[in-house]
Amino acid sequence: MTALLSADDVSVAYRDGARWLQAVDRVSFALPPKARLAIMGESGSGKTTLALAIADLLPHDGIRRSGAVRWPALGGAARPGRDVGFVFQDPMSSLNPVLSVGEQIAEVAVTHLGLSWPAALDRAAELLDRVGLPRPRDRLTSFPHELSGGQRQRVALAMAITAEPKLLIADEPTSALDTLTQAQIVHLLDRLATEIGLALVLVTHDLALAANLAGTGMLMYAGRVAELGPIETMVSAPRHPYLQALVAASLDPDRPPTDRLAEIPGIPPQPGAAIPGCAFEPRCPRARSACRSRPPGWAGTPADGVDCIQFDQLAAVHR
Amino acid sequence: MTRILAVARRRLLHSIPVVAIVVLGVFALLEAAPGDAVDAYLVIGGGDAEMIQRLRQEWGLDRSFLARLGAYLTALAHLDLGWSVAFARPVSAVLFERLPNTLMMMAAAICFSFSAGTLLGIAAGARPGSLRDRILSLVSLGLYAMPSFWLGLMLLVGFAVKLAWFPLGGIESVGMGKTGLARALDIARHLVLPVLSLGLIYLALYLRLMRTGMIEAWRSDYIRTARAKGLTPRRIAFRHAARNALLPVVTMLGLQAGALLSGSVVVESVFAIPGMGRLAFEAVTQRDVPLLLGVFLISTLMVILANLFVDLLYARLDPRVAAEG
Repeated sequence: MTALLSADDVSVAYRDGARWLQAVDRVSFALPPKARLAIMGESGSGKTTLALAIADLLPHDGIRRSGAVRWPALGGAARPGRDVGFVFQDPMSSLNPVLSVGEQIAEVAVTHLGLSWPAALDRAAELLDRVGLPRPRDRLTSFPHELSGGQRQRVALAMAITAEPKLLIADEPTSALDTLTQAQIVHLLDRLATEIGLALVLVTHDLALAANLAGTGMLMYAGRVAELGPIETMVSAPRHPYLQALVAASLDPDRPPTDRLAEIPGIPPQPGAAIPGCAFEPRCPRARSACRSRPPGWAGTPADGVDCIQFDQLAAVHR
Repeated sequence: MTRILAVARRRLLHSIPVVAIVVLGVFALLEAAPGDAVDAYLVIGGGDAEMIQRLRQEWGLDRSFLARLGAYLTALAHLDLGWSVAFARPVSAVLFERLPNTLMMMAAAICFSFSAGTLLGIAAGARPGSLRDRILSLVSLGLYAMPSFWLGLMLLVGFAVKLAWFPLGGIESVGMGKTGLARALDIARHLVLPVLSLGLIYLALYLRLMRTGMIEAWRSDYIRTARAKGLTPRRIAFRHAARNALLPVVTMLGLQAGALLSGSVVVESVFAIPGMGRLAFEAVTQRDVPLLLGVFLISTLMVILANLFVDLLYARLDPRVAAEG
């Protein structure tokens, strides 16, 4: 099947004075239409930068990027808002405080669907209904500060799907919300993606949420892909030592609650630090001298593999 | 709409004590100043003790402070602003003769500085650090650093004396018998230089405020959202960024109204325009208390109305300004 999106060796660096900080380092993957990919990682791992690079939303200044993002199924470039919808982390700051909810949704329909303003406002009301906001007509004239966090994120979702894009990128869409609202938004995201036939890129630090929503998982560490593969296998049989440690550190309802949670010693490398070998090596329980001297090679297929030189031995342990 | 009406009602209620404080304060201040209208009158004409006595009695200046204050407030309650001894006419007649000139000049200065300042500010802030931005910032800094009387004199020397493009002073050509459109154009020609010298400094201020606001807006998350929505650069700049950057500029608009009144004293003197500013100056030199009180009262009302307008505009532009806030 023709891929909707294919990224080849995408790299992004931010300028910091005279230095360049590598945020994303040669990331490649392909996403078929209607597929769901979860980009996971901790803060600073480059997952948001990667998502912005895909959507072509990186700032113009102070950025150095290389590699290619292609859209084979679209037959050309992806237009933001039309082919790709984006939902951001904080629904308070991502909505314009001085424009009405109705206008902020309707302007997408006016820009991309060529609707008149009255027709676009009708469409906005339909969308608000679809994302589950009560009394959608009355909500058109509301302003963001008059809505709760969950309602704002529903508005942001309505904005992102207005032009029925092919791909929806959600960057930590539930991190700024309370637990109950999180579950509702996740459910809504799942339902909308199925109904509209959206491909989904979910950026998150939450393994459970990723497993819940996505089919494919991509774990990032220090700008590199550490592991890529079917999310279920990644959670049930993690291969990369980093992922193994993360899975061991997550809460498990089946485990006795008296147990102390496992933790990963150390901290991620400083941005811009020169790393001759594997970035995870200082924290890795299975590190050996070779890890320090040369970068790990990709072990596996482009769609399923691990960025670790010990992969063969580690896999043997799990087999 | 109800929210905006609530803002208007609250602001109007707040302005009642302001007016009272201004009237009482100015009355007391003038009382504390040495000399009165009779002294000022005698400087010009001279006179003997009997005449001084007669004038003081005639103008009511022999009565006590409280009696005069009471008489003034009683008259004010009947919308009577009193009698100008310097002009030998009712204060209201003198004021309303001068008011239109000042209002016209101020309105033109505000419109000019606000519209040109915000537009240039958007242009400068659209690409911070660009050549256009640097030129505009440099020019605005230069304008901002100039005192308005000096700027007025330089404009006068350059455009009225050397180039003779504009008249030297006055509000219209005397004795030309112009009417209708011809008269309006004549007045507009007379107003160009005074409006420039009053407005250019505020233009620079608005430009800088708008530029800062735009630069701040560009960094905001909602601008990233607007880009993610694929809106046109024009819509992002004007509807999303400028709409937010406008808020601090509108606040400054209210402050400008007050500052323009004091600026008009200087500019009307430089350009020989018979307006409120010069009237205030004349009232002070003649110790004409009722006239000066009238000028202050009208100025206070103008500033209150201007700020009311600004508050309403602000409430209209920023939905977060709540009725009870």
